[in-house]
Amino acid sequence: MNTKYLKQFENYYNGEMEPEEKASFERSLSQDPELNASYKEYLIIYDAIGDKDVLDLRIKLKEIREENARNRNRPDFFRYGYNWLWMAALITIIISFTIITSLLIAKVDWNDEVTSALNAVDIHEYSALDRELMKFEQRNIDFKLESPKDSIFFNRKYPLLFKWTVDSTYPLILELIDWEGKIVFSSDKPAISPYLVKKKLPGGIMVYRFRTDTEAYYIGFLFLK
Amino acid sequence: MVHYTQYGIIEGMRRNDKDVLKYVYKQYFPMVRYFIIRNQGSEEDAEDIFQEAIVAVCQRVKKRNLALDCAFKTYFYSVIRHMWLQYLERNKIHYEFSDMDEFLMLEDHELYDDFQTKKAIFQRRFLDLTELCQKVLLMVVEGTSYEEIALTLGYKGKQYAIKRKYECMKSLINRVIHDPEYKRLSK
Repeated sequence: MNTKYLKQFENYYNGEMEPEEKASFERSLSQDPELNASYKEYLIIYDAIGDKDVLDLRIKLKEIREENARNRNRPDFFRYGYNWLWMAALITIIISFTIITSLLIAKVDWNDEVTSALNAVDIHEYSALDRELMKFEQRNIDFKLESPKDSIFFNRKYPLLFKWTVDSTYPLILELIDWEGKIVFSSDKPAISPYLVKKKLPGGIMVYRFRTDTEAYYIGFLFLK
Repeated sequence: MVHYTQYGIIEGMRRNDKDVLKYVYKQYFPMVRYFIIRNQGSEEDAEDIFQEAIVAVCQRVKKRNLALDCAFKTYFYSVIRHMWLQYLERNKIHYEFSDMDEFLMLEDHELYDDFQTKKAIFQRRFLDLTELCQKVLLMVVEGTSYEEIALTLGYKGKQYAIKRKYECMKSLINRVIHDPEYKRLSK
């Protein structure tokens, strides 16, 4: 088949030939096998296009073929239509998570949090006793107290006798501090073991401290009647 | 994905149901591709043969009751096998078949003869035309007058509609005569 007879075929098919021309063409059809074969193929076109059912089927198959060709060129995740639903769901989850997280971060002002934490340290109210005891740095040396024994369970009565040994030549001052952080007794001068506290002291828990000018060597507790 | 029974597939094919066609494609195309490529064909050959086999089976289903006493897969494989055998013989390609499944022996007349093969080529190439050309040719085949075609498609007049139809026919024939399968058939 070729297009060289097409104009003739079209004129004949469209009924545009004059009677003489038509008769001549029909004669040629019966005598010229090539023309005849071409015309038969020309007619197949009408048969092919007129078969609507098969055309409809072919249109669908072509669409499926094109869909599959497109899918073959895509990553696996996109191959099937329903994956778009999963993709949409995933995007929604990511966006929601981002929004919620942003809102939570915005709600908690971290600068304020840090500042208030630092302030909390600054404004922590130590008791007067704590503050008094913190005045001197605690030092670990060989200090052995023989009397009185550390205890808040046994009542002590004055006068209090302090006996100790210490591996230091620094002069030590003995102080007694009440629960309010008030120094109720001080040896004022360096104390030497044994040392008798003659001053009458108020009852209650008492802290005693041996210190130099800068360091506390020993801190203990007494419960005075 | 929905699973179709053998009956569902046959009924779907009778109605040109796209979902069923998709299902058949998904279920059986891998088998067809494997078979064709294993027997001297290409990916494109597999697509073409698969499509023609579907058309042949659908036509068979519509014309006669297709009472299968075997699995649809076996019948479909037999159709594919037969069509590919015809293709290889027509193109004088030496082959030693390597079968991958049991199959039925089908008669040539059960499937395509040369006329049907040419018709299939025309139909495939028709679908490659522009939408407007497809529309013009379809209206002509449906018996619509050229005056009406001109009116519907906004042409100047009957003569222009005739000219457009001629151009579309020429475009279609040119596509057909360059079709490799048509060339082989015309030798």
